[in-house]
Amino acid sequence: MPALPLPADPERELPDPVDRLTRRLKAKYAGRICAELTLPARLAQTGPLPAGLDERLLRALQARGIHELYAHQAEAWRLAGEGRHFVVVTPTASGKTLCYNLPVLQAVCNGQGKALYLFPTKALAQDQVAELLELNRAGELGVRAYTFDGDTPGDARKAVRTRGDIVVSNPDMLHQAILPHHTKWAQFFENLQYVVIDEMHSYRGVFGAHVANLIRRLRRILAFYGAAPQFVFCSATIANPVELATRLLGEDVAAVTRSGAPQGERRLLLWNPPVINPDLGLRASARSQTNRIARLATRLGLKSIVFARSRLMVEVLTKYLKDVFDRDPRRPPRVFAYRGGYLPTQRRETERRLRDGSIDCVISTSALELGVDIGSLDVCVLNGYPGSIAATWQRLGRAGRRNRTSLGVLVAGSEPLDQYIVRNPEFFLGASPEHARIDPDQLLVLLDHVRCAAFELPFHADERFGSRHPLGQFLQYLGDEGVVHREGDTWHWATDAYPANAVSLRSVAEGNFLVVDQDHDSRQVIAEVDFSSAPETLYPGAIYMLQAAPYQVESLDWDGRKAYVRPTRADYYTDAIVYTRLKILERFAEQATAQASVAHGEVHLVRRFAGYKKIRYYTHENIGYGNINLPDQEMHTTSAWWEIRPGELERALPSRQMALDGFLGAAYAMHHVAALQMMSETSDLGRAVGDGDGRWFATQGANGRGQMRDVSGEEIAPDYQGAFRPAVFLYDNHPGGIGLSEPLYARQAEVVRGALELVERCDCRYGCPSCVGPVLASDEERGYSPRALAATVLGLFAAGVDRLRRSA
Amino acid sequence: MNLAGRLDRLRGRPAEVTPDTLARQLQRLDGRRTAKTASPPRIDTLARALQLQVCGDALLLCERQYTLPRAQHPLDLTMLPEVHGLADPDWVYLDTETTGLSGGVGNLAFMVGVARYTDAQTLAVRQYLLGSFAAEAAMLRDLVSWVGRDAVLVSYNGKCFDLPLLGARCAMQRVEDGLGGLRHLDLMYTVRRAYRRHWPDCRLQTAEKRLLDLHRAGDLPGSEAPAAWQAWLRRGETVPLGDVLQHNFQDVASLALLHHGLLRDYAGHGEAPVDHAAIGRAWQQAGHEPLACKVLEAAGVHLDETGVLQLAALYRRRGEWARAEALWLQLHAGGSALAACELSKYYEHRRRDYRRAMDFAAVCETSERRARCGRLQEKIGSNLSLPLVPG
Repeated sequence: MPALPLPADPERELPDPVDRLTRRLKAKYAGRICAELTLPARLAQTGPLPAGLDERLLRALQARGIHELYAHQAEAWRLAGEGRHFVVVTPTASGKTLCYNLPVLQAVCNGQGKALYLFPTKALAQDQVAELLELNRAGELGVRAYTFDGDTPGDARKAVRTRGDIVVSNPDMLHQAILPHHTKWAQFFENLQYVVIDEMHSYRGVFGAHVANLIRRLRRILAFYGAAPQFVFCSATIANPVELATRLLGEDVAAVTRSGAPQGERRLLLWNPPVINPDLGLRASARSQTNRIARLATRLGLKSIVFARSRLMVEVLTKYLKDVFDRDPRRPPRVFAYRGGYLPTQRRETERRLRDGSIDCVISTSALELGVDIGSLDVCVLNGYPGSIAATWQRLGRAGRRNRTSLGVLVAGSEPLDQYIVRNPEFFLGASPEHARIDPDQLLVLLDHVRCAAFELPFHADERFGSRHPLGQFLQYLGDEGVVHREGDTWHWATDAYPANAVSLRSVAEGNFLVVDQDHDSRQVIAEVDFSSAPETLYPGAIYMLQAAPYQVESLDWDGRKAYVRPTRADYYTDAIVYTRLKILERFAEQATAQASVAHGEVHLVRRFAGYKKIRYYTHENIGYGNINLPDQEMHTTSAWWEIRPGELERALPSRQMALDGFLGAAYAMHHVAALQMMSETSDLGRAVGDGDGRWFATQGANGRGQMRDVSGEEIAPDYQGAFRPAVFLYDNHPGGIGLSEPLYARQAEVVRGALELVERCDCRYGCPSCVGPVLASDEERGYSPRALAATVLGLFAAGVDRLRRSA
Repeated sequence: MNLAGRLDRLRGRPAEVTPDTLARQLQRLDGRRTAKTASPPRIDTLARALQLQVCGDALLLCERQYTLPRAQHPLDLTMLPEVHGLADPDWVYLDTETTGLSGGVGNLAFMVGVARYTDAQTLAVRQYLLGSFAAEAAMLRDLVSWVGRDAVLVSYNGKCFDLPLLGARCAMQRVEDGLGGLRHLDLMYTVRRAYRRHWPDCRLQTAEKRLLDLHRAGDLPGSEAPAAWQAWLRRGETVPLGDVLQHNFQDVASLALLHHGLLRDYAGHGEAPVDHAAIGRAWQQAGHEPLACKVLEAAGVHLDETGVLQLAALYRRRGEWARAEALWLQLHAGGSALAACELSKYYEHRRRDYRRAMDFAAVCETSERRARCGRLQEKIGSNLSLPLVPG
């Protein structure tokens, strides 16, 4: 692609610090840079402001320096005029918001109607109102735009409901506060002309299934008030925006996908940490490389953002960078952490500092991936592949918003996906982004929302609720529980409860944990942790990190959902050891060959928290263990699983120990490939090796070898057990499943083949974190290679489905 | 496996495989026919059991009279700050029993009790009971028309609970909400103001015990009302609903008794421990200063610092300076800095005795003292040559 000339920019004449950084990195670390990509600057495609625009609105736009529209904004205006539902998919900072603000403000100015904006988080909603108010002021439009969220004071809520032209809220608020009180909103709903759903790509997985059902509920209430507004969706780049919008809405949606906005030049480096132990295929950690790049950028006076994949890694990186840049407590801090779990006020404060440029480096989880306005940054460092191509571009987009050259560096971790991507840069650079999947008919999610909807309006027996399941059975089920009561053809809410309170949109299980600092007399809540990650992070003895300050968990009140912590001065962090065993409950489908079989169905899963490791900072050595006394976590979910026929297994892998090692290695590779195929985070899928009856499961022991453990978690000798039928399970890591295992089963051949390629083509000798998982030095003495064993297992899995390839 | 079984398993419940679920499964296949025969005939049973009139399909009605126990009619029921000055109001007492207590549009009032005076001592009490969901619209329409457009509603916590709930249900049933716009005396606020600092809580039952010496025997707690209606819906039980009917009748009667019972303390005649200062303030805000004065004076030694200051302020406004000064001095002797401030102002502006004003100013709160003392110092300096005029 030929580079387009950049528009004249006086700053370009000066030595560009981003250039300097890039040059220095390339000179010093040429061997670590696997690929370099320059996305040339792009010129704007524009058209005139549309005829028929309200005059006040015209003035407002001109006052803000807008004299023409980008092509995508003009297209959105046209679709809005035709009364269609549509979805806008363009990059960060392309003027997406005007695509909906323009038709909405036009409608409000003409007195034709009101609009509801939904953003996934409160922070984004507040940003949006600030922007609307600026336009409003510029044109003296007299449009009343208010946020309505948990922070809206009680006495202001009435004014929002009755006087607001544009109400900006979030799905949780719609779910818990607006719909269950819809009569208070009658006037607003009757006049509703637009519903705007921004950051649509974040509504996938469980959250997406909830939001789809929430939209069903909203439209049901709107129909009651005789309103049928247009829906406008906005999304970052994903492969299937139209499909996602259509599934969320349950109706056809038009698309605006070509951006007419200009963009500054962007550079991207793919960075692989150097190999430090060639025998084991061990590379330096991504963390050390990220740390180095961020340090250099900060020293050069550049503003940078570092994305880490876990909250723990955010805290670890923040500590390391603060140790360098914030040693002097008398100076204002330059390095900040930002992640979910911090209290809203802390986050707002960090956002404000980012906008006014007083932060030099921010370390974040995906929390900053969305469109929170954080001003202009120069450098974006990704500590590890974010798990999907869409998320990678979304995060890289946080640097270089304002027509300036920017640099992104993707630092590969040792995980198979990361290594696959840096070694095959053409795959990454050429690939289309992933599909976002939701299953609005996930049984438990649907049941929750049928319950909430019954509270909001009685159900008629024939009502469909947009679902493929016949609703009658759900209502009958709820009727048997005494939740609803049938009278003639109508089901009425019939119990003393407020159902929305018991349903959290962000998870299938409910109840966040509060982290309480009991060091002060007034116990202070310092963070929140969601239910599913609580057992792994808040066990007594755990080190909980907040802005890189360590707190030790002293006690955990499981039923009260509270963890009591105290500041500590530990020089280590903790990591939980989790055992998982599964029992197959029902097979939905199965394919078998002469060698192997694959199936998917419902499973019962038990997770045991066996203990935790203490890991010292900087050296990362293991300095001790502790016990975790938590109840086992049980979950029903769906899974796909692979088995080898007993005779074949014994023929190919003479000892059970070898079979365990082979299955564990194969599971490791398949887990990562499956996550790539499914556009899910690796944490949305779980993996396990065991038999299908939950009698035993396999883990990797401290010596790096597979161990067989029984129901109570005790190690047992593989050779002294009865029947031996190991299976690899890849399960949907959410209660009830969110619809991952069925497509996984459908694409099982690709998963097995991809994993086999990964293992066969790896550069290591016996196995490494990039193919079958970490292998210890002593493995050379094992007499066999875990990598070869995994390849054998995968070969058998693949044999039937791909006989041609094996014989070739 | 059927849907119910899968849902049970996903939610971690043991799936029951009993003949009963099988029967229900069959019913499910042929749902509509079986459901139609389920409920209608039972309305008559309910009406008979509770001796109610059937009115429309499934709306039940109970009309009774309630005679106030003592001759209380000479009392003027508008003598509360909230309703002071209303001319011959059409009082309507109202209380609801609802299917849920947590708010939101899914809860409805399955019973509404209303009452109005037929003469000074007699109330006509009208109670509606829903025999089924279908009767709700008819109930709301009849209720709105019976209450009328000129009534003054009297409730206990009706502003936050009963009225918004009825308003929401009117919207759901598309019945014009004639109640939301009416004048409304919520006795909970009246009670809270007067007794919050003296009672452990301000529930209706507490007010009955403390003000009316009324102790309900065998009364169904209001929180059990939702379960009583569910018992009727699901199992056709009529006894619990009978208890709710009695409870609701008692609530409505209590509203009238309480309305009367509050007048004594608000007029300054009561003996109960009461927050006189708060009542005085309410009367003053309602524009009735003589009553404010009377209540505060009646309190005598029970009046706290705020109350005495308030009374003194009332005297000051009326120009009764000597009485005001006496109160301030009495407070000052007890060590009140606020009273010292008042005295300082009084001596500075009224008596023009700057030296005494200075003495009092020295005890004032810090920031005010600095300003006042500075100013007084100047005045003392410039007026030294002038004779000090005693007041």
